[in-house]
Amino acid sequence: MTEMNNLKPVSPEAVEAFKKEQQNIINDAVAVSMKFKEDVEHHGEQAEQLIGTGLMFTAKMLEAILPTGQTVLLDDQLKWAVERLPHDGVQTTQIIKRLNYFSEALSKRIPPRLSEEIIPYIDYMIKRMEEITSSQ
Amino acid sequence: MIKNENIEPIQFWKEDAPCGKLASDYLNKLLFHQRYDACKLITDASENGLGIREIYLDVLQPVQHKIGWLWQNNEINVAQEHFCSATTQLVMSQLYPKLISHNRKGKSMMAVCAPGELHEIGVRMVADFFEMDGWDSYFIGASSPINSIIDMIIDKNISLLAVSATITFNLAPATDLVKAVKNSEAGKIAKILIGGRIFNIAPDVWKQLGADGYALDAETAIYEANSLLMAS
Repeated sequence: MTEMNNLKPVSPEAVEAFKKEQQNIINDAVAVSMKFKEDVEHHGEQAEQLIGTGLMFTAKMLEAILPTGQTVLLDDQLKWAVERLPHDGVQTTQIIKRLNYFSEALSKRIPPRLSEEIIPYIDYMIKRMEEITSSQ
Repeated sequence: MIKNENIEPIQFWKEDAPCGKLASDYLNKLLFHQRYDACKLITDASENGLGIREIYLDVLQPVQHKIGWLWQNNEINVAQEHFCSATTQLVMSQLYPKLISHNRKGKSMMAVCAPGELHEIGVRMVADFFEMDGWDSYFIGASSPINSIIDMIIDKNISLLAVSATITFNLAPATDLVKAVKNSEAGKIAKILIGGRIFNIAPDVWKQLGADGYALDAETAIYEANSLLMAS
């Protein structure tokens, strides 16, 4: 993995906007995920719920880390995801796709001046996951 | 069971370390659900002169970390993990009468988890270490409302509040707890010491919470607490 510096801590206003729109962002990202049958059919009837739960975990984790700017905490979560989620039927390539859907939904739901503070965190996670996937 | 070939097994203790064999034996008893035998292993070791500090730091703590790793890698399920943790808490209860220091310090501390945090073995160890150091410790653990924590600090004139958080998303509730205590009458009485897995990963984060200090583990918590109280 490449070394990256910490990110700029997100303002309380942007964190608040993220918290307020969190459920809508998750709903949007789940809806997009469900359109790609090849990525969800192996989850069976629980697919929608499983993806929603996973993205809620992601959202709560981000909510905690955004004010800190600490990428080391993101790295720890990604390490956990890479180790654990394949056992729950979620592959790293699917995590990357869902993070992208999450990012797109966030950009639409939160005003640009606030979402621009948050997006670098998701970009960081996607970049790291891509690095991990390419090294596997 | 799925094996992720990309994951390197982590060594949580060395087999040839003084407590290495005991840790391995204890882990095996847990994994085979032999609760009585697991408890007896530890209580026998204590009877034979192994110190509580060594049992906590060189056996129970690394074994619990290994248990967490086994769950993360799908080697054991949630029920098995909870069985192991419950047994370790039982062992700690059995050791408790042995850890009371007769050299009392006249200071008191309270050990709590951040709201929502359920991992309480670490902060329970912290409380026990303070008890061994002669403090009056109040282990509260998980799921206590913030107001009741504040009330108890005031009621018992607590000098130190130890707050633990393991899971990243409990960082925000930990911040809420620290702020609430600091903004209350309890904030004038108690210093706040932060610890737990999140803060070991990102050791500067505790400053952003507004706490008074941070400790890496139970042993350093004693040193940090004494320094904090001396400075005040």
